[in-house]
Amino acid sequence: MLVGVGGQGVLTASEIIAQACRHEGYDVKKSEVHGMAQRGGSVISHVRYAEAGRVHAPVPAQGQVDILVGFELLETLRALGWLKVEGTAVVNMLLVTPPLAAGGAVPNRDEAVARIRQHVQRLVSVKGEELAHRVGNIRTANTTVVGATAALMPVSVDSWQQAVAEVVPSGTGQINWQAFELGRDMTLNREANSK
Amino acid sequence: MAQLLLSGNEAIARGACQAGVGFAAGYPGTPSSEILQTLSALTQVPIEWAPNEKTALEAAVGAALAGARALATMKHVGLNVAADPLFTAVYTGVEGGLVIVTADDPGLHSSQNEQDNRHYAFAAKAPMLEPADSQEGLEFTQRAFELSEQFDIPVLLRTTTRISHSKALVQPGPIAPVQPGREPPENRAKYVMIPANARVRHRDLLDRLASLTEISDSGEFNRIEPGDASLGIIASGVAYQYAREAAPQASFLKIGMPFPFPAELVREFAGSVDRLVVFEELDRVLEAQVRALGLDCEAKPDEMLVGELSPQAAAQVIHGVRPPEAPAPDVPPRPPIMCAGCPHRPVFYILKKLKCYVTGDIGCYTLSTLPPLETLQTCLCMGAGVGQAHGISQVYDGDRPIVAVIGDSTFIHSGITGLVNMAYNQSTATVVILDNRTTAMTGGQNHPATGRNLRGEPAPELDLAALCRAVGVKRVRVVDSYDLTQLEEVLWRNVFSSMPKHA
Ligand SMILES: Cc1ncc(C[n+]2csc(CCOP(=O)(O)OP(=O)(O)O)c2C)c(N)n1
Repeated sequence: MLVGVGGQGVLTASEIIAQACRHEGYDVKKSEVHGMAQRGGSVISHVRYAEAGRVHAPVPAQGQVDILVGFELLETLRALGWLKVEGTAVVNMLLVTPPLAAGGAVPNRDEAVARIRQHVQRLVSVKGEELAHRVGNIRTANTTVVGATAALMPVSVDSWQQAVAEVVPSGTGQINWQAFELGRDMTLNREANSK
Repeated sequence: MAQLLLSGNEAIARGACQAGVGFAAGYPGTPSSEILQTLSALTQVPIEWAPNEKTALEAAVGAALAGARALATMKHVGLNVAADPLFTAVYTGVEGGLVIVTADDPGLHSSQNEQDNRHYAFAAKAPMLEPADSQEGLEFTQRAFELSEQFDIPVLLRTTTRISHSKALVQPGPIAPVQPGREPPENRAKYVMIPANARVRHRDLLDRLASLTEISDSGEFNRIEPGDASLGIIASGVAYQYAREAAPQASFLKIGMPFPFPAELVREFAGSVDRLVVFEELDRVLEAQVRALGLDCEAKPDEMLVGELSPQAAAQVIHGVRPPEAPAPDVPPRPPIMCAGCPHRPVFYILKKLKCYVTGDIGCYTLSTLPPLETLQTCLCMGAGVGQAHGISQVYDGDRPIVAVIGDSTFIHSGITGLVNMAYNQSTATVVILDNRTTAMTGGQNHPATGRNLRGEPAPELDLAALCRAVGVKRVRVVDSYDLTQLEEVLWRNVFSSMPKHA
C-alpha cells in the first residue's frame, strides 16, 4: 500500500512496482484513487501480486497489508490501520503540513515518527528528498522510496530496471535508476547491519 | 502478444479498437475520462469531447445509424443527462454497433451522488454488461459491439471506480480494421419515433430482449463456477472479486450481464447450493430480482447500501465476522484545496466581501464551499446553480445579491439553457462564468471554448461573451480575475444593479 500527498509521485511509484511485478511473472493488480490528487489531497494506491490466479481483489482487507510505503508522515499515520501486525513500513521522513490545519493539531516530525514507531514492528526510514538531492534531481525522491521498498520484495534487478525505464518520463531513466539504487542500497545496508 | 497491465478504462478503449470502433464521443467525468483519451492514442477515427453527455450519445447514435461502430462514454450522472436519447434508442435500434459506457462511483470518490446505474438497464430496457476486471473490460466491450449489431440494440457497459481505475493483466488481441460509415438507411418506420411507429418498436424491443435473455442465461456473461455446494454466492463487478477472496471454496454465480436478468440460471444455481448469498455494491438490484423469483437469499445489511464494499465487508456478509472497529487515526485531515494561483480564488474573496448569496455548480470552484472561503451555498448537478439563482431571485426580494457561479465547461455543458431562461424571464440574479479555459476538475480536458479538440489540435473557439449577448443578456462584462481592483469594481457595480431596489 502506497500513501502520500498529491504531487509526490505516489502513482508513478506504484506503477513502477506493479510493472516490475509483471516483468517478474507475477499476476498483479493495482488500485488507485486519484479523484483529488491534483489538489493536494491524500493519494492512496495498492499493489497486490502473487502467482497466477491468486489475486482477485484490487485492494486488500484492512490490517492485511504486508508493506506500507509512506511518502509523507501524516499520511503514513493515517494508514497505519491497514498494516499487518508483523508488516513493514517504509517511510519517507517528510512532513507536509495540511494547508488549513490548526497549528496545535499537527504533530511535528519527531512526534509523528515516534507514533509510527510505536505501531510498527519493522520500520525502514528513507530520507527521499536528501537522496534525490544527491543524485541531482529532487523529483526523483519518489524513486528512492521505490528503491528502498524494492529491497524487501522478491523481484529481480532486471525486472526493476525494465519497470523504471518504461514508467519514468523519457530522458530521466538514468537519473531515476541512480535514485532507485541509492534507496535500495540504503535499505540493504541497514538490513545487513541489523542482522 | 505480450500481456499488458491496463486499467479498466484502458482495457475498454483497447476492446473498442479490437472491435473496429469508427466513432467515439463523451463528456469528461471521473472515473470515465481516460477511455477517450486512451482511445485517441490508439486510433485515428474521430474521437470527440462533446459539450455534454446527451450530445455525445446523440452523435454516437448518428454514427451507428451510418453503419459505424460507435462508442459513447460518461460517468454515472452523465447518463441522467443522456437518458432521453437512451430510452428511445432502444426502440429504434442501430445499424452499426452502439455501446454506451457508464462509470459509477460508489464511495463518491469524485461525484455528487452514488446512484446505481444498473437501474437504468431495467428502466430503459437496455442490455447491460458489467466487467469485473480489466480483461473482462476488454472482452465485454468487444462483445458488446457484436451483441448490439446482432440484437439491433444499444448496449450499456457499466463499470465502477474500482474497475475503471484498477490495473490488471490483460491479454490483448489484434486491432480490427475500422468498419467505415455508409449512407444511412431510409427506414422511417424504424427511426422516426412517432407514436404509431414507436408502439410497434416497443413490441419489437420486447422480442429482442427475449432473445437476449437466452444469451443472459447461456453462461457466457453470467457463469456458474461450481465449488463447495454448501455455500453459493451471487455477485458481480468488483464485489465478485472481494467475495472470491473471502470464500475461495464457495460456488459462484458470477453476474456479468445483470439485464436481461438470467432467471433460469439463477434458479438452477439456487437449487444447487444449500445457502444462497447475494453480495453486491450499492443498491439491492440483484437481490430484488432473486427475491422476485420467489427464492430466499441472504444479503448485506443496510449500512452497506452506502459507500464501497471491501474484502472485509465480504467476510462480514459471508462469514459473519465483523472486522474490529479500527480506531479513527488522530491525524489532521488533508482536504483538497484550490491550487496556488487558481483564478477562481479572487472571485470568491470578493463575492464573500459583497455578502452575495452564491449558488453554485460542479467543478474546482465547488471547493469554495470549504474553509477558508465558505462562500458557495449550493451544488446540485451541473448547470443547476444558474436555475437556482433565477428561482431564488423570483421569490426573494431581500438585500443580498443572488449570484450563480459556473465554470466554462459546465456553462457549455448545461448552463446555456439556464441563461436563456434568465434572459427570457427577466431575472434579477447575476451569473459569473469562471472561465479558466479548461475542464480542470476532471484533469484539464479541452472543450468548445478552449480552441483545441480532444487530440489537442486547433479547433474553432466558442466566444462565451458573444454567446451571452446573443441569448439576450443586456450587460455582459469580461474581467481578469487576477486584477482584484477591477474585479471588485465590476462585481460591485453589477451584482446589485439588476435587483429591483437598486435599479
Ligand atoms: C453530468 C455530469 N457530467 C460530468 C461531471 C463531472 N464533472 C464535474 S465538474 C466538471 C467540469 C468542470 O469544469 P469547469 O466547469 O470548466 O470548472 P473547473 O473545474 O475548470 O473550475 C465535470 C466534467 C458531472 N459531475 N456531472
